[in-house]
Amino acid sequence: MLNNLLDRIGEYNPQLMREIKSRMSWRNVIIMTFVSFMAQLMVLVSQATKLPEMTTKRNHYYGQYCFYTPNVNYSLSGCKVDAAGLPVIDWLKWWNDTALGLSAVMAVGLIAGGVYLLASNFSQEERRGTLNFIRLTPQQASSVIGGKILGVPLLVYIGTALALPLQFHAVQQANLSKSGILGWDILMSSLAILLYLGAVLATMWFKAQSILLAGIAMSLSYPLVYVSTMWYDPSNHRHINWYGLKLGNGLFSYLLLSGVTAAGIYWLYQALQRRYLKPTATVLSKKQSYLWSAMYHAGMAGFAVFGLGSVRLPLGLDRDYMVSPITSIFSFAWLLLLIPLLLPSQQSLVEWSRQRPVSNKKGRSLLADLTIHEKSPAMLAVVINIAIAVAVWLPLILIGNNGFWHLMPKILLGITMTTALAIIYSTITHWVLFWKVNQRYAWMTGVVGSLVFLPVIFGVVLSTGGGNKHEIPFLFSPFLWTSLEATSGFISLIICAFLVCVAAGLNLKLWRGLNKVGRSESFKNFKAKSA
Amino acid sequence: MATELAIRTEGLTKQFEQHIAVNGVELQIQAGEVYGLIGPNGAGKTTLIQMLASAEEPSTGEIYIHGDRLRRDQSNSQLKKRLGYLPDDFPLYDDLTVWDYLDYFARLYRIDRTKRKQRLYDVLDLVQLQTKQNSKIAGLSRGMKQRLSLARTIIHEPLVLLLDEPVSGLDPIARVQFREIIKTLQEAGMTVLISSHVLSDLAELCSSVGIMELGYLVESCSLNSLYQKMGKQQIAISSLGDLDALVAELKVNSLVDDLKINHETKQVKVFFQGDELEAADLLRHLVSIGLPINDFHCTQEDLETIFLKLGHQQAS
Repeated sequence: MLNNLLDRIGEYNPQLMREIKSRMSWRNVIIMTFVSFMAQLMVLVSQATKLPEMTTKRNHYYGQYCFYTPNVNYSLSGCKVDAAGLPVIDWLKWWNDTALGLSAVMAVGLIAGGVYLLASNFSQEERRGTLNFIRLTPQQASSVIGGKILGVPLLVYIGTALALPLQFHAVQQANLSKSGILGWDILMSSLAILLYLGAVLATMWFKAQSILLAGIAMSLSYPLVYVSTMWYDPSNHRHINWYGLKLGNGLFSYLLLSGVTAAGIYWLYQALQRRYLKPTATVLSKKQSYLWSAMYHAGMAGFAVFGLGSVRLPLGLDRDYMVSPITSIFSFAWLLLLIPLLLPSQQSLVEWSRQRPVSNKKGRSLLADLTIHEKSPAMLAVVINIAIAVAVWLPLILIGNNGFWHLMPKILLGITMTTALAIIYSTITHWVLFWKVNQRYAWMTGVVGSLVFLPVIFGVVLSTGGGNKHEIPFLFSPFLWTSLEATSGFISLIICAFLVCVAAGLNLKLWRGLNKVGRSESFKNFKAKSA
Repeated sequence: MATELAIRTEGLTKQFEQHIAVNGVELQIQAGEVYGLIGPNGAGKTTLIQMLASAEEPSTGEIYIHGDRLRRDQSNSQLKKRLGYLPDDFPLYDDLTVWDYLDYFARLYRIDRTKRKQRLYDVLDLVQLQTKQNSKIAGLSRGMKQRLSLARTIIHEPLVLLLDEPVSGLDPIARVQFREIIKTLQEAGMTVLISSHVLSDLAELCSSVGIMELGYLVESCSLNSLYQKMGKQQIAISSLGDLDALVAELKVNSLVDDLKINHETKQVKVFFQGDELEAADLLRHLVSIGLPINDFHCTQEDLETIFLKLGHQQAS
């Protein structure tokens, strides 16, 4: 029967069948069952240790799951006891916490375990060259990637599924909504798929270590799981504002989180498919990056809009509310992420510069090349992405905050400085591609990382002694929005002009370099052909 | 009647950073041919084959397989079914059995389930691995693994087979087995492009050859025309009598280019310009003047000698 089932699966998805055949053995299933039951036992034991205990000093029961008898003198109060003298335990709360704890362990196990297995599987296939054979078959990328995601972490899925009965029992005992926990489980599964795709992409993109990725996924999943448990925990009254809507425990929050996860899965899959089909392609095409940016900023802007006519100023100028600096940091983090995502390979750049005169003759303009062509330098695309961010944020700031019109010159200055910095970072990454060094991506990270953080470190060191904050070093970093308001307009303008000049100079040099490389390659080919 | 071209490339170029691995290659291979690709290491043979298999993207240039443009994306699933590619390192999945491995690839190539089982038996029979079908791949010898890789390459009955150094590292018996399989595939109508340093194998298998050097395809012609153009006819003559008399007689013949005398075997190797009739005349003349000739046979210069004679300068 199992063979028939496998055969049917193989008709639908050969990759999934191959992964199942490779992993499904009695030994593996028994080990995973043991691990799963041990984890469940540990959650129960850990919860059991929190039950009320008798204190020898006062002959009272104490613990977090008691009903306490009211007493003016707190030290004399203890758990309410029944006729037999045993403490009355708040089992509803105990099972509620057990359900939450078990759900969190299940989610983190699912994410970290799956990420590790998938990342190591893909890196092994890439290293040995077996993935190339699969690429050469007529199978769609979706079938291969889907088969791997469903099949490689199969034992982790089994282990997690074995914990579901206890989770549902706990939910039932805690009087929690069953549909709620079902929804939460679906959400966690989607989140796991999102992180799986991210891990596979990282493995294929820069050959990231699987154990490192599992660690990152684990540390990422903790806060995500924590935030997500808010949704089905009825005792939770915290919420986050998004376009004036309160996101806390409720169906809408669940739908929104699911939507965000689905969008993330879609984009990661797009990137993964590109790298799977063409390992030298940029992770995102320039066109895709524009759409992605628009979606991202429209989403992030929601955290700053508190309803019609009440818009908190983003980009860090409004320090009264913490969401704004956070959105500002996330916006620049986004920009810093876009730079490597759009960076073409060195070979692509050389080919583009060599074929540029031919493209020109065919009527393809330089502007079209720089905004759309995949092999062209990415600086203009980065600028367009900034323009998209500005197009989303600026109207919100101006419509929602009448009082901020006087800050307009500084805002524009800040946007120009941000753009110049992004161009500088992007141009430097293009430069590093031509360095004759090993580990170019490590060098890129090092150089750009230094440029991002050294001014901040310098500023912090200068500020620690004197008491006053030295704002100027911050203006040379992406954190310039935290210092722009406090710096005089003239100094800001000088620094802005300096950054623009550096960006222009670097681009001019890169442009000349590319032209030279393109010409010399064409000349070399021409000479070789005529010889 | 013009034969269909199985492979055609136009200005195919691949550049890795500053190094041009393949430079403007214009290759044409007729359908049903066995085409041998020779050249020193680093000449660009592997890169050319990888591009033809769509395992590597060309920097510039176009590839046509049976007239259809080959692109490295998802748009050409039918074209992918026409290609079979065996690289020189043939990585396999050690955790699978021989049968499961071939079944997996048969499904990846979407072979109809009604034909799949029979196809697996046929292929296992062809590569002589029937007895190993339930063995784990990890336990196979190198020769068996090589044959299993070939089985994987032909499982979907491709029209074009691209083999990169398929016999490297194989012992003589495994090489003979491999040659026989290639001959069978050629008889089945497959077009085969094969690169190898074992030129005697290529001479036996190929109908055409191409020579690559420094990324260029410097020669591409049928094996016969290469022999006619570059290969000298040789005649080995042995005498029971005095070799000096034989040599003296040969030296006055205007069709004899050069001589190599081996006193131990009492044999003279004659580099002869004439055709078969003129060779027969020479034999008749030598016998008529009373020389005790006991061996007279014509040979052709082998492919290796011709390749070395071409005098290409690239070092391996």
